[in-house]
Amino acid sequence: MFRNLSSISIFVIVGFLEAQQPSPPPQSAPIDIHVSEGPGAAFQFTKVDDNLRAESDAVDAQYEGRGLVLHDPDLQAFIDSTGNRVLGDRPAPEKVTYRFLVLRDPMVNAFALPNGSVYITTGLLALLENEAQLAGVLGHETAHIYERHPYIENRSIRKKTVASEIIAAATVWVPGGYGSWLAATAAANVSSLLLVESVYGYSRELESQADQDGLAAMTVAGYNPHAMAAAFELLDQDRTLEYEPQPAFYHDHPQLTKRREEALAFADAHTPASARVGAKMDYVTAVAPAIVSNINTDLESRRPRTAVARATRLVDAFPGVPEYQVLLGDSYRALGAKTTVPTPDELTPEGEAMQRRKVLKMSEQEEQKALLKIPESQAMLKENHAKAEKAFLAAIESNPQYALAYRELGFLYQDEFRFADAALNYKHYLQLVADTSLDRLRITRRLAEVEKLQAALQH
Amino acid sequence: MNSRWRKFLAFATAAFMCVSASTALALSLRITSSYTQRKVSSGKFPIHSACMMPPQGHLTKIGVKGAEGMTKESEAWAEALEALVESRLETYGIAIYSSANPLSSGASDDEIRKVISQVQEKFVALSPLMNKKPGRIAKSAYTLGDQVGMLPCSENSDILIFVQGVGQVLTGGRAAMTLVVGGPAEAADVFITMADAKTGEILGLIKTYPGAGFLDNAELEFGQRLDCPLSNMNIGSARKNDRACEN
Repeated sequence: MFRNLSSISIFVIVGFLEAQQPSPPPQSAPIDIHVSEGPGAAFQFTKVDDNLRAESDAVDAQYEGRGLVLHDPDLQAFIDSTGNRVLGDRPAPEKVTYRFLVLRDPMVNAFALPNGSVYITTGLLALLENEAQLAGVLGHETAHIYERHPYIENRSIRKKTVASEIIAAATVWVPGGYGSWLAATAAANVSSLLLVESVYGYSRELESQADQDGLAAMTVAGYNPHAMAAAFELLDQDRTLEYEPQPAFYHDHPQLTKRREEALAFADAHTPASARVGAKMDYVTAVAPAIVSNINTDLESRRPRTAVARATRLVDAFPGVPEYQVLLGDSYRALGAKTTVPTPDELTPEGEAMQRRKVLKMSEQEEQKALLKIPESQAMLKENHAKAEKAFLAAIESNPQYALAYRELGFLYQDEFRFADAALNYKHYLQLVADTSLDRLRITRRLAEVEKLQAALQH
Repeated sequence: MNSRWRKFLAFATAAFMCVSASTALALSLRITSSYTQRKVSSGKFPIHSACMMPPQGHLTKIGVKGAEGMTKESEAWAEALEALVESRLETYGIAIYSSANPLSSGASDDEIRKVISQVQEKFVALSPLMNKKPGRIAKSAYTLGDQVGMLPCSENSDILIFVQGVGQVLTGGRAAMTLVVGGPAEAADVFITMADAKTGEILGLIKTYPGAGFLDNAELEFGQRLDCPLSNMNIGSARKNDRACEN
């Protein structure tokens, strides 16, 4: 009802930037698309709503304080320009200040707070392929804000008797459930319960409305809505790469299939002739800092397959950058005896159950140890180590003064019990790295350790 | 009194007893427990200094109409928990450092924040498994890796300490409702994890479950519960001492 009351019609006379990628057959006539501005003045704030907004401000501050917001001027300019383009000249709703922020989080997700903060995770940025897909995601999230979905959902939850159970599902306030809460935070880095709905998805009705509004907004902004359908396909393909105990909204399979179909139907009917997609290379260039950050987070969060996929993408795009080569080497090293993509067995229900057990019952080291009992996995370890070594050596070839390449090569050789080679590379690293480097002491300790082991071997 | 009424009363009493008994049982099971790596409990790894990692706290307010987040209060609670742990450790002669302190490293705040963030990410990724199977701490099953050695405080500290808390508080209305018909109780889970500051190996975990009033009376509900596990861990001057565990 809110939509009908306040939606405005914007007639789009197609005249935006030239398309940079082939698009489906375009329509030639001007398109009438409704871009909602939400309920507008019809939405009356209550004390509960004001509390929620205050809570959102506190969450913003918390994220900032914990260093979870990625600050990179060029990346920020790109996200802002895409976001502002999607917003167009629609006025911001009352008590909303739009801000587009990048959250350092491996979970493939985006969410909006009622105060206007739109977060897109490095996990999602690293997966998307072009600017139009990003515009689609931002269009969807800003639609939640225009339509006041966080407030509406919050009011709805509070009326339900199961409210505490919903919240408990997120915090897992059950005996022994703390671990699961941490798992959720590990994936989402979300610490505030008010975000549960926004992070894990609103009701189907509200999400569907946001999808439609988002598609309309991106189209009006000159982007090709087919890109959003392609993004849903991409998200669906990516969801099996790593085991996720609690898939977020952007990795929800049945929803993704349905959303893709709806996006395609919209796009087939409304794609303007010169709709913009954006070149893949431009996009990777713009979001490279987010991809780098995400690879590091993936490596810390036991997601080596994702790390390999993202690092490969970076190296393919920029083969001469030693930093990216080192990240690729690190990712292969972390992959150990695992395959780069799940095997068919892993994708069966039994395989998924096994994955779950591994993640919940075995440490990374124990998982690798168990894998190495299988001959195929031993071969895989050798293969991955060889790829890691190749990447580190390529980084050194690109820039012989790039210290990190020597350090990581040292780690690899130490893993392989090649203590003399490890020592050599640690020494090289220590020669190149600044005296104030935080890693100096750690590597000095490692060097002493490998020299001791080498001496023991020689005896 | 007719028989239907008597049956209803009997049923209501039985239901009430069941709810009370299950609540009491659940509460009684929430006792403080601790897990220690063998080299620590045996005294082979003496602990004299600790580096505090940024604490994490998460509070929820449960009212009659549902739940609300308490982001600001959560931050304050986390800091209060950290202060309590620090003061307890100082009592036992442990020197305390902050992970954010550059000390003599000459590193910038940004560099340190990045390392802290990396270590926290690793810790959060490891936590579900560690909390599910804490007994394996004794066998050195868990490690954060030697990247913890990049923290400037690592050089001066024997251990890193991670303080985490999750709690729920009830509004007056909800508390009254809980008394009558049962439901959520005011309580918290507070976990303190210790890791070797040089190698990242997890050395100890204390799980404690403060009850009602944990926000107003943190020392009684939480601080005093640490004495026994700390003495079992041979931390500082807190040598194994049965008296600490009597209460």
